[in-house]
Amino acid sequence: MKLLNLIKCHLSYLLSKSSITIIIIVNIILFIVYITNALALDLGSVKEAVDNYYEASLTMTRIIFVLLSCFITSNSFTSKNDAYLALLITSGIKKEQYYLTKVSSIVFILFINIFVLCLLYLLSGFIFIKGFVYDTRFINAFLCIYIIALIYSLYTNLLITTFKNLFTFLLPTLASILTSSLAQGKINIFKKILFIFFPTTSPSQDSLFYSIYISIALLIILIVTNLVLYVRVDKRSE
Amino acid sequence: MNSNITKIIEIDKLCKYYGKNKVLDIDYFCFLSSYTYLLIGANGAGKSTLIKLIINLIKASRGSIYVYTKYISYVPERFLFPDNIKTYDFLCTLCKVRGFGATNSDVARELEWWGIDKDKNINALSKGMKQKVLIIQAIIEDSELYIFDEPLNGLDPNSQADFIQVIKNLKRLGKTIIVCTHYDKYYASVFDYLVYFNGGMISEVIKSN
Repeated sequence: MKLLNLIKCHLSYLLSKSSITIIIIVNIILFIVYITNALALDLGSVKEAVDNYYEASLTMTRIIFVLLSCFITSNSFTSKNDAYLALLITSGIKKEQYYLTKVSSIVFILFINIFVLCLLYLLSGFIFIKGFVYDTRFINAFLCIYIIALIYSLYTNLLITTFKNLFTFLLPTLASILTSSLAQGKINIFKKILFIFFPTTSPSQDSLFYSIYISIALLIILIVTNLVLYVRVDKRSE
Repeated sequence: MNSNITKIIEIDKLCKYYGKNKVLDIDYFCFLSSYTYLLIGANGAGKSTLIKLIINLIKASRGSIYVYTKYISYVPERFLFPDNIKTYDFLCTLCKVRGFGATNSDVARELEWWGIDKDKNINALSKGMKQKVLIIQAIIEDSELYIFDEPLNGLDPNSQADFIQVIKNLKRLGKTIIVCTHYDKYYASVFDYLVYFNGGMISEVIKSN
């Protein structure tokens, strides 16, 4: 019960007016992108139209959703938005507990958002592309974007805790764009190593470059690293 | 005064650096339970740093600080309230998370006493009203130690008097109170010890008559 209230407390900060506004704007923009893609790419066979719709929409979703995720994470760990920690640790709530519930709240918000985006994608497909049928690769692709967004958000978390600057969220976002563009070309050993730490999707976009277990392991490593750093680093300005 | 006076906070060779700047250096000091302490000093004298060390918001660079209670109520100098939440809901959630035992009816009673509309969005409140909400979240809990960092910020004279009355009530209950302030004259009737800070050190401690 106490844990649920702690999450409720995090959500009241995470879902601030500015965050909600940004999330809604991003969702509207992506919905417009989906509709535009569905209308513009209605050429040739149904399969061709669906494939083009899939490719164009998913690329855009990945870029914008990673950007949004990194921003939400960065914003939630700024000194101002993290000041309520002071009111909670004085009652025996540990920083570890605070951090893990806060990250869980972010993970939850992002999951709801990717779910909404997936629904919008399917909705626009069904409405605007004749013969559009549901395929499991759509769900897989959105799940891959979600996992990638979580990983880059945790990189953002490392940066904001270290440098205490809101705009650090731009670096992981750029890294994600860079890795996805590198994945298009010929894969050499350098890229293979790079994609372990900075994961991206396979060219078909419905699976990760490496197995899901590698990404989960990376997620765990990043959460533990962030946790250790968060507990150790001073919270100077409230 | 309570006959069972014990140490509630003990500081031993405490040192805090921000980068290369030494911001706090206290050889030894202890806060005794059931007393009211006023921490006085110019900006950057080390008062707020000491408070952050007490509540474990920051770590000591050297030395130790022992806090012999788990139950601390704290009013920070600056605070950002969440959007989109009623004052009453915010305080109720906070009380449930902290788990000190304050109930929803306690919240409603305190809000009424301080003249705050419980259904009003917390961010629609004035600066003074927000300060009152911060005070309420601290005093509503039955803690052993109360720490206030510039609690009179933004309060009108009547509310300042109300706050002094609150301190008196807490003193009567035998609570330990630490107030960080620039304005010691407001607390003339309530303090037990004046602790002067200068350049990160405790320069003088004066006991009340």
